[in-house]
Amino acid sequence: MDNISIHVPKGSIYGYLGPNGAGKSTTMNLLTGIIPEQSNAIKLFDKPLQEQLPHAFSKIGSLVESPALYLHLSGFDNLKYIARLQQIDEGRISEVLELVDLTKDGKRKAKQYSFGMKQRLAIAMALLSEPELLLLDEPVNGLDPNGIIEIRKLLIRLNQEKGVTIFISSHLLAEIEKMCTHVGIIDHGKLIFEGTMMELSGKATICKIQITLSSAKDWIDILGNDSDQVTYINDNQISLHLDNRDSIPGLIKKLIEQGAEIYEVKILDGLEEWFMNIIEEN
Amino acid sequence: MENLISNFITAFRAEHIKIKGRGIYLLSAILGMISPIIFFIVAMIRASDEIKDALPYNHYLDFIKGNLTPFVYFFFPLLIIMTASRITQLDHKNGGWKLMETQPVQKLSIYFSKFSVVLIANLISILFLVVFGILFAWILTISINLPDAATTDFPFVDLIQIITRVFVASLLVTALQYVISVLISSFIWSIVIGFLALLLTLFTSPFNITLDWNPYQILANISAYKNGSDLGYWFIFTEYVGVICSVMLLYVGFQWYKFKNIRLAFLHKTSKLVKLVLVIGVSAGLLYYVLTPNQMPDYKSTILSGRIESDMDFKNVYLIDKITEDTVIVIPINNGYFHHQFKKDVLLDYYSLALDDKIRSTIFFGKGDSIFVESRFFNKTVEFIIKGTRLAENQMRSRGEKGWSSISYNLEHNNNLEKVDEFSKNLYEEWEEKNDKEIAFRTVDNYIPKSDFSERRKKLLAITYLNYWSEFSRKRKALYPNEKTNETPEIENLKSKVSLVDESLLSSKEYFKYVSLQLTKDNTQDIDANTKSIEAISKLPKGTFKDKMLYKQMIKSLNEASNTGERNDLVAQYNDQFSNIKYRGKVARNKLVIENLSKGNAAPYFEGVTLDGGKVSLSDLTGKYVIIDVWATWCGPCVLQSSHFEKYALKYKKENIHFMALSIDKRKDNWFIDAKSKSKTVLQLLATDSPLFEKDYSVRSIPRFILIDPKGDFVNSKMPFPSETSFEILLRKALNLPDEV
Repeated sequence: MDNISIHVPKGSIYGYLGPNGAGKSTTMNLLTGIIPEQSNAIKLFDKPLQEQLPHAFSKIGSLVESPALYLHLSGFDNLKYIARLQQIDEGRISEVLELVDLTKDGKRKAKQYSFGMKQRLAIAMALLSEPELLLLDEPVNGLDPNGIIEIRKLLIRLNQEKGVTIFISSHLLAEIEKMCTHVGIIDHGKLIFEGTMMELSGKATICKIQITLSSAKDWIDILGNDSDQVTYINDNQISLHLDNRDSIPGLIKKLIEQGAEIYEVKILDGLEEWFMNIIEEN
Repeated sequence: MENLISNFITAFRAEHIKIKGRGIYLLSAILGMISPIIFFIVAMIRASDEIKDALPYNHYLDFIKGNLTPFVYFFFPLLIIMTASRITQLDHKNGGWKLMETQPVQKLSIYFSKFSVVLIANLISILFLVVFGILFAWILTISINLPDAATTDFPFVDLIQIITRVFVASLLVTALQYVISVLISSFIWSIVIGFLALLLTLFTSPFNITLDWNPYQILANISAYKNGSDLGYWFIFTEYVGVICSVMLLYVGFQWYKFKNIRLAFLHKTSKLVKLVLVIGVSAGLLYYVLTPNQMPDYKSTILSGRIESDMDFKNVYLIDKITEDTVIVIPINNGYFHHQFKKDVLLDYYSLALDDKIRSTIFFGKGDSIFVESRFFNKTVEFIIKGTRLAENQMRSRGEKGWSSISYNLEHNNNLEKVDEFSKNLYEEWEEKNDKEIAFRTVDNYIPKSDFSERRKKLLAITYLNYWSEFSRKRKALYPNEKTNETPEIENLKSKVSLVDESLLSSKEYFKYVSLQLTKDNTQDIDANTKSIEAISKLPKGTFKDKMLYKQMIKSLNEASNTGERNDLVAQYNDQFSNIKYRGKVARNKLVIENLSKGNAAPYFEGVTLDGGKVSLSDLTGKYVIIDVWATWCGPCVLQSSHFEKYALKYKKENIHFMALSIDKRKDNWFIDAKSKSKTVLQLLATDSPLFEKDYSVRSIPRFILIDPKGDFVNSKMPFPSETSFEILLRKALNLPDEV
């Protein structure tokens, strides 16, 4: 890791991105003290991390290795264990179970849970102490699309309703772009971008969109003036590249003015491709 | 500190949520109960009304101590290996370590809260062993007939001691298994290492090899030393070793766990390295202190004291010189205690210690020793425990550790007599090996004999091997008359260790044999060895050494002389050679006894009581041969010989011979019970005046077998034991029966 400074604004959902092996997990492990630090170089809230561990964990919820659960215990007992360690009233347990929608399954053993349920239980364990900051390492890794959506909804709700600051690491931008307010991108141990989602898309140089409209063939030549890569897909769809996202409203306006009947405009792989580009550039 | 404790308690309580449903403590309880249950079943099956003789013992304590061996050798180590592995696997399998480390608990709390669970599991197992031991022992008291010797008061303090000792002795095994189980996430390794170390103990124990450093040996020592310290300490020294090593191991294990690798844990910062060196240094220092063998210091005066617990009354303790059979001192017994401070110097040697003239034991001591003898004599069973400044010496003796010797075996079977160099080399090697073994002896409290004793043992060992050499030379001389058997450098080396005039070694038969062989080795005259020896001894310079040598040789020669004439000549020729005239009297008295007991002399009169109360004397039995088995109910070897004796009584009951068993018991009831259950073909008598009988017949040890002819004269006053074939041969010869085919 090379002199990395990450700024996570309070109340944000911060996406910590990078390809596999970029140093995401190392960052997480160092932040949580799982990898013991060699010198007092890590600072959290401007104070050396070493001095704050392990008490800082009453303010920080974390989910580092997913999912760390005791499979022989029920969901309830797993939470009870954390409650005991955190010295939290056991009444909180039913609250978090409800929050992650596991109220009905609380008595069942964790080994009978589906992967998504385990993940939700793990998040519930991280949430038990009502943390100000939630550190999540690849929380949707390995989940089916439904599971991903559930977790995503849950995190957004937490952020909006409880004001929890969330720090999520992922190697797939698409997984998190829909909920993050801020993004940091790491590659080869260096932070190569940090900013809001808007700033990130502003940095992006290519935007590929797909337009569904009637008599697509007729528009290919017209669109050729605005973009160099217009592709015919079928009678109703064409795709084209724009310089950036900001060009979309102008293009649509122009097409409508020229009498086009537009049914749908969809951005294809936008952020994901920019993200890959940024990484490749470095 | 307060934070640390509350943090630890939090972690510890949380750990108990985690082990829910895993049956960790249940397994402890079950493995603790197994031994008492098995013991109980065996005790119920084996229970019989047969009365066994034993010293008084506590029934509960005896039962629980019996359980300790299978427990500490197998069930308990098994439990520790399993518990340590299971408690750590809980977190290895589920990613629990990371989970715990991202909670507001100190790593110290995490590490030691889990260790505490293992310790509690241990304690539960020990408590179940003891509680179920008490329970089953109690059921035994109401369901079977306990031996008279068993007492049933509740041994509270002893039980507490057993519990704490087992717990402390298991610390190192627990620490070892725990540290390994935390560091290695695969459960296989901790189990493999655990079982290998456990097996090591099981395999080394039959060979008398003790590996003090093996944690499992420290635990197994509970079984080897069930009674604990000789010196009244709560723990024995290997248990202290266990505690020191546990602390060191846990320190290293915790640092390693905390920093995840050795380099970060110890080498990364100087301060950590310094701490490690400090911990290891202090531990090593303490280990050195505990493991260095102790020697008892000399005492300012020479004291012989002791305590006697018995159901019989004893008046005096006799200290008897082993060579001359002289009583050195008579110490009166008051209320079961005796105490004597010697005014004069006492020669360092073995002595016989006798309670009145009944029970004898051997004791080693000398000037500057303070000895306390604890003797117990109940229900015909005797026990002597010799404590004080010669604790290690007297324990070493009672171990009877001489062991097997290939040299002695080869000599006996005339193997390799042609290879002088090889024999000498092997002999020296075996001597060295045995010498090393001698040095290895330690008491349970890590005491070794004083140097004078070790020196003496070494000398005696050298003498034994020199005697093997003499035997070897003698055999070679007979087999190869033309070849010389030169002493090799090894033999000369051995010889240089042994003085030829060491009075303190004279109680050893081997030394006497060695000196007399050395004195006569150049004598090539064609006369018997006794004559050669006595001639050589008579040429020694005057003094106590010569007196003792001469006395031993005289008694030997007198015993082996074939007739009165020879004996008279011996006394006439050599009795004035003694510087101390008391020996002359002793020789004369010995000669008289030998004369009286020799073939053809009239057997002294005695009488005894029969089982139905009648009186029988020796003269009532004239007209037939009489063979007498002299015995007592408290004499173990007598029982063994009696069965052989009874076999002959049946076989020869039609012949012209009475078989008589004469008991010299003091207590008639003891004799009556035992004699009643013996064969009716043997005439059972209790000597009316046993001291007189013992004096007249020179009974120094029992069993003793005496054959008397129909006229009442001795045929043989010291027959071989009936277990030997020569007994029957002599018997048939006397009865004029032909040899059996």
